[in-house]
Amino acid sequence: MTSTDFRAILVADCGVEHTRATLVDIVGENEYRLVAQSEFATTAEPPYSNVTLAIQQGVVDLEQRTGRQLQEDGRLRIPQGRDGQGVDAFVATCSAGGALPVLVLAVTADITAQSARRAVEGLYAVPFRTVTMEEVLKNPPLGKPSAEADQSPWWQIVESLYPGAVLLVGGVDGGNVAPLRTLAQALAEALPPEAARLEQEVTRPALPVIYAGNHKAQEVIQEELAERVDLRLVDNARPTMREEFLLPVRQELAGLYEDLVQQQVSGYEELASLAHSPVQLPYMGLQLATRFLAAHHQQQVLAFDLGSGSTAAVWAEGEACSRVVLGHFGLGYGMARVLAQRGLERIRRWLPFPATDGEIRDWILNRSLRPRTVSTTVRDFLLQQAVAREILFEAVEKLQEQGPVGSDMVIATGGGLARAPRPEQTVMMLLDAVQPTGENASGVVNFYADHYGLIPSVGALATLNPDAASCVLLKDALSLLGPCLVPRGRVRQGATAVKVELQFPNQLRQEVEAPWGQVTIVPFLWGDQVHMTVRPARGVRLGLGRGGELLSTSEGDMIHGGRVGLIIDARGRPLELPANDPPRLALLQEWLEASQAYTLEELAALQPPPPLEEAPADVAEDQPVEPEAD
Amino acid sequence: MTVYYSTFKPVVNPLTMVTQVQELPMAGEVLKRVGNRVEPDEIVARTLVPARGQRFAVARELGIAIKSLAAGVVVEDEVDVKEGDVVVRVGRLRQRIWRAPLAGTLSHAELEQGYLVITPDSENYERRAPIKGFVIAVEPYRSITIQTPAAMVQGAFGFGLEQHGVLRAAVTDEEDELLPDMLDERSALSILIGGGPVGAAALARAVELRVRGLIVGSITEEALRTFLGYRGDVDWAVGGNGWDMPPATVGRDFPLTLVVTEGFGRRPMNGPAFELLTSYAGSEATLDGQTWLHGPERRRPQVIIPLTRADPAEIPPEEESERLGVGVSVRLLSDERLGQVGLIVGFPRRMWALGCGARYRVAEVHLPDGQNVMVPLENLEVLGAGGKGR
Repeated sequence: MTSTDFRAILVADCGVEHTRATLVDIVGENEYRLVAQSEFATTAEPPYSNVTLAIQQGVVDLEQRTGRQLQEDGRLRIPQGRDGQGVDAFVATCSAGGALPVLVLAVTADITAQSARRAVEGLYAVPFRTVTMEEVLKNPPLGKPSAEADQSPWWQIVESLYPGAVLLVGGVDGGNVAPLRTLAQALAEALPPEAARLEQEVTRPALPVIYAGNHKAQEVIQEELAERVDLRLVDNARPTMREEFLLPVRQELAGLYEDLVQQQVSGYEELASLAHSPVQLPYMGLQLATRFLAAHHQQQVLAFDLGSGSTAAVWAEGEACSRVVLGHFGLGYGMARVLAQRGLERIRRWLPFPATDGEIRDWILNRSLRPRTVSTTVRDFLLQQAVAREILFEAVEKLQEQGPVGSDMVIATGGGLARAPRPEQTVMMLLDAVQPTGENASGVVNFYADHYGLIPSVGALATLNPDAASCVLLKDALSLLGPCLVPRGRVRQGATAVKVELQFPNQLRQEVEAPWGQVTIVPFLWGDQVHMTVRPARGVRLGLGRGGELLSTSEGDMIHGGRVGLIIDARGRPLELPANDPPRLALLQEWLEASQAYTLEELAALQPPPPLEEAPADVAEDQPVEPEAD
Repeated sequence: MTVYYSTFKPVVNPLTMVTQVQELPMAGEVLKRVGNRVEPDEIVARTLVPARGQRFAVARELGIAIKSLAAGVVVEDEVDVKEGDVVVRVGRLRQRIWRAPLAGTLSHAELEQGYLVITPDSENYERRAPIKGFVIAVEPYRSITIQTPAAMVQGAFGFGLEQHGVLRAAVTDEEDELLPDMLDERSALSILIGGGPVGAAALARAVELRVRGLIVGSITEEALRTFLGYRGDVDWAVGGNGWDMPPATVGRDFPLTLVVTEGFGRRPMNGPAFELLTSYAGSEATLDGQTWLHGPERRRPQVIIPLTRADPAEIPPEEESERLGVGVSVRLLSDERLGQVGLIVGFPRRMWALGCGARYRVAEVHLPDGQNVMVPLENLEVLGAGGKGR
């Protein structure tokens, strides 16, 4: 069959927590569109232990929503009949297995260990511990752990590392091999005795060890390890001090992920056999979509997929592309690791209400314990979104290690980010963490949300029908939140930073003054296109212009409305938050209220009640006290 | 629907069939037969586990050239040595001697690299019955399956290996905090039932008194961190493999097993769990605090109270799936109501807006204080057995 033969396509996205089933079909005049979607809890883990069960539930739900029969005798009806029943194909993405843990053994903590970490952070893998030569010499295998040690000896981890892998790195090509021999010997000593290892290997494969260090040491590494582990030799991740070469390591890790994690997901074999193309990983869809959009719009595109267990971020411009995948780093299971990595104070800085250390930590750990619970109060959402900001911060910092990260388009996908109760909340999370500067010709940064979680599935869809993938991406996945102006420079707090004039197609004009130090929202209808003229104050610049220089849209280059409207972020760059609580809380509340992310009443309800006052002496004890009016 | 447990069993189960498999890491000997009755801690299987060989850089220690080592070794390959035996003797005028630092089998495998390896004798490994019950299956040389009717309570998280002991109520109400002065010498070797939170001081006192286990409603992160000796936030980085909570990075064994039923913070134990546990005060119980949050080995801590005299015919069949339905007793998992229990009285057809407009499918839950609240289905957990299907 050719791609045009695949018209009605069922797409499944199996995440760690949720599984979505989406029906895509031709609608109207040969346009591929999202027809319906359903979502259920992922069923990969006990007691269900079959990832396809949630997909089946989803298909039944789609049948009820669309009135179409998609199954027959418990199986998908393929191909679609002339009566419109059934589908032509089924494709899937799957990240239900979580991330592959990787123990990094490095000669030193600086350059080569950092390269190893970057290699691991390009896939669903997590460098959960880095052990250097110094630690190996201080804690040789089987030695008595130091009483001051605050974590398990590194060698105890090796025996129980399944599924997992060891990444051994160090040394530029041609350098000294002795340190690598020492590391390899230490690793060999940390392995279980041969008899026990052979017993284990009946039920699980030998420990994979990827060596990506000094090429000259490969023979030595083979001598020490070849007969004891599943040794894989790849090109040096750091062949010279100035060069970094991560692709070979990543390819090897990707293969391991497929074998040790994906293939072990309960029901994965059944899922793969049902799919018409290889099951994809969601970050591949994110990367494909980002690169496509960058080429399509000729812009810098920055996209985030903030999941329960992991987070992916991709930046693309022209042919250039960078990607980071943070395993065990999300808004569900991954929340505890966010606390560990980013620290409590960084999370607290985004909370517009007083909270003790214990309250924040207890809340985060409870969420990690029960990741499927949903936020039901304003306090919950603010805590969740504070964590989300730090996740985005971490992702941006990691991308910046690979090169400059500008953004003309910022895209959010993943439930906790793209499906916040109000789109303004999504905008504020992105603005606070990404802090775009709008330094481009138009002076505008457009924010988008993928409300249906379609972007990760685009990769799978594109393998069968690239037209369908691009159509669904452009028409259904991307919901414009709004264009954003970012005045830069400095004026007095509260003074007018910019004066904006919007001219609508019906000749209606709207003028707005945006004060410095504030976020201003100018709602205008989704679908509307307007001419915009912006007059910045002296000392304030927009886009690529100089201070005070006018910015104006030209004919054919109007700005489009979105779910939020025009966003003017005149808080300055970088964002500065007061160090102390009362002014910081007040400022955050001001921003959240001005941006319409939260209402004044919602924010006021978070404040602790004032201390009780004694009743006045002239009120008799038995008289009821009238409650205060709200 | 929330499913945080590896079986379909409700969180609080007054009567169920508990089945536990004890496996040997290597082929060995299973000591019991199908039909045998076993007691907790009774050895049911054993094997020998090879010890790790230890390498000694003998050439370096003696200060000799690597190529000189082979000529100086006076013990043959694969021969047993005792601690203190002379293994290497080099030199004539100034003799240098290397003695075996431990007993074991000597290996020349790495002689050419300047190392000698001594592998101690294999170690005995024993599996003990975790619960009182009957053997229902044996896999020769590998495993044994033990089953018993029991009352069971599943926890949110915990730590510590299986412990057996007699249940004792240390508090009288599920809201009571377990304080150090509530523990005394009578607490030794028992499994204590607390109510609300427990602090680090009480945990330390429990260790001092050799209490085997504690079951509490909650614990603050601060108390747990203090007791475990964690440095701070960095220790909550979920472990490499098993999302173990708390992370097994401390590198020491705990002489105490803890099961927390509700979660972090200062919450009372849910009423049905407290009532069930305290109703069996004086009975033997098994506590297992091990917790892995994600993956095929997923497990949550549990308390098992064997009821060997119960009639298996009275055990309700295990539900094929966790079902929320009208009349089902549930535990609320929302942060502001964590641990509260209620009864589902209905399912509104439409989505319900909560907390700044987020819309969810909800159940209407009747609380003991008379309130009816709307709770997202994701924030409910079936609490008790006997719930009706939807």
